Amino acid sequence: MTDSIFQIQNLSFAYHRQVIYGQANLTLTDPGVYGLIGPNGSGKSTLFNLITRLLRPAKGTISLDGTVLTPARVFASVAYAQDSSVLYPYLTGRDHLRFVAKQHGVARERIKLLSDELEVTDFIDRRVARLSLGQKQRLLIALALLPESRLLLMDEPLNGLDPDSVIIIRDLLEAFKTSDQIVIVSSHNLDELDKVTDRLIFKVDHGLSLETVAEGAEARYAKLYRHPRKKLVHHA
Amino acid sequence: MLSSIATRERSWCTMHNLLFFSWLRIRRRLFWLMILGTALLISSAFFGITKWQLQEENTTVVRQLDRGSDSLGMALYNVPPKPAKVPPDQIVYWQIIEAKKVLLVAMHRASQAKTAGDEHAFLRQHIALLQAAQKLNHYQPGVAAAYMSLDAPTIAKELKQDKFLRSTGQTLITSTYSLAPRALITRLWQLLLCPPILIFLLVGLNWLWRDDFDTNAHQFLLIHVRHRRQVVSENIVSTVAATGVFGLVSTAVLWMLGALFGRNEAIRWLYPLSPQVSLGQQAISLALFTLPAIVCLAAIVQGSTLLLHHLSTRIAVLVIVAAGGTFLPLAPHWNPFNQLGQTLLAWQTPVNNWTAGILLGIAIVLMMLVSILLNHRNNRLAD
Repeated sequence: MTDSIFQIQNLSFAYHRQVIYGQANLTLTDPGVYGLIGPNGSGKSTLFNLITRLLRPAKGTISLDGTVLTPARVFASVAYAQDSSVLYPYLTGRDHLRFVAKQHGVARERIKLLSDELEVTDFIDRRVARLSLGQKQRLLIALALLPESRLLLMDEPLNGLDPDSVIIIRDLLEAFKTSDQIVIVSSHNLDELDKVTDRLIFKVDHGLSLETVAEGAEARYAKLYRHPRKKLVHHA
Repeated sequence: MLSSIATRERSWCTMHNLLFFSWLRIRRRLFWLMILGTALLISSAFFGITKWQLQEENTTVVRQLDRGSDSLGMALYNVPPKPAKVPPDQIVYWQIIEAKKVLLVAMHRASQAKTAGDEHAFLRQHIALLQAAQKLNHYQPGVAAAYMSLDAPTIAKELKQDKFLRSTGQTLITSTYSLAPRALITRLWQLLLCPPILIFLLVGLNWLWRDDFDTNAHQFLLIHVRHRRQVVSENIVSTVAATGVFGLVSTAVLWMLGALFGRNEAIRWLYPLSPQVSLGQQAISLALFTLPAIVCLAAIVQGSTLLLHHLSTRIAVLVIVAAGGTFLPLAPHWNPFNQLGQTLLAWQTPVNNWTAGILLGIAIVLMMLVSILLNHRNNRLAD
């Protein structure tokens, strides 16, 4: 039996009496990049919020390297690139980066390094309210990469990115394939996910299913979620 | 030992960084300007209202005195000249006339002193007026009741007190309102610390917490702190600091306005507001209550932000809770909210200072409850 790095056991969670997860289980034994796939509103962001303890599960445990994740453990070992609504619109990118670096005891040089790598430097002193969606996404990723955490969660990181930014993120994810970190990326951009990983976590019913998909994410997605639809009739 | 020192140092670093981040947010959002502006506005309004109330009260007193002296003057106008030798059956009549004359002069002079804003002269004439009224009442029971608001021992006491106050260079406050800086500042803090007012003020001054928890920004903050209680304590510290700045600016502005326009009145901290309490004692009580009251109500505001979504509902609930705690007669002597309300509404009565300790205890418990709530509540903005 292999030792698990990341494990979800019997996870249950309901929101407004609607069950999102019911006795869900997931075990990740190898580091690398994993894709998280599910239809809109199926609970992908909820899963990330449960892992980071922004939400409390009704039942079950989530553990990393054999230790149950508590808020203190999340701070030490989990990085989360959330959606851009968590940023303070009136603060600059540098304000956010400096705060996170100080909280995690990261040297200021790393801010420069990551800003250059993710091409954030050009707009680092601009207020978040004045950034485009793609620039905000790159800033969020830079913030998540600052502490060098064991587990990195990325919620729709490819949303709103221009082709150049997509290439930057893709290269970054490629680099994670060989690192000892676990990266879970939720995305609707199945083509891009296919390019960086074949290990996909599907949200099925109230559970999670880890699959190594050779046929491609799109095909598997269609099999799992797409229902036969009536053909649209165009009336002249 | 070493690890505990390291943990303490790390906690301090986190707190320092969180405080700096809050200051950055206040600066970038120009919230400091709003704090200063509101403080300036509130203290100026407070001064203006006090001055207006004082003027209104003085005008009413002058009007009453003038009306009284007019009717008395008319009555004395028709009196025939006093005979050189008063017949025995008219002795009492002429004694009454003499007393009425004294009363008329005292009323007229008191009215003049009040119009001129000379409180010392007013008190002297007021006492002369009361003594004459008392004398008149002795001859014709009930005739001067309208002029008598005090009894003889109280008049004697006031006269004695005035002598003492005069020797110290102070004036006697015969009105509820005073423009002397010390009295103005004490009254302002009595108003600010009254729970229904303070809670309203703290909803505004605790903007940082609302900005975090009424938006998704708190997720960013919670992810980047080791212990969530640090967010609670940091917010309490920044709220106390914001309220402190607000209070200091208000106090400074009021002091200046009082020094400029309230020179006629001089009051020392030893000024006796009542036989049981001086202005200084009242100021000490307020100082004892300030920090626990701010921390306690700030924690209540934090909790309400986590539990109630709509701002209007939240404010309504907060004001009802604060007003209920202050005005419901539940063990009033040991109820710190009631004691704080009492300093505003019955300002001449002493406060039970021990309840400041009770308030501090409640504040600490509430802070702990908010920390627990932060760890156990599910994010209402979740998808």
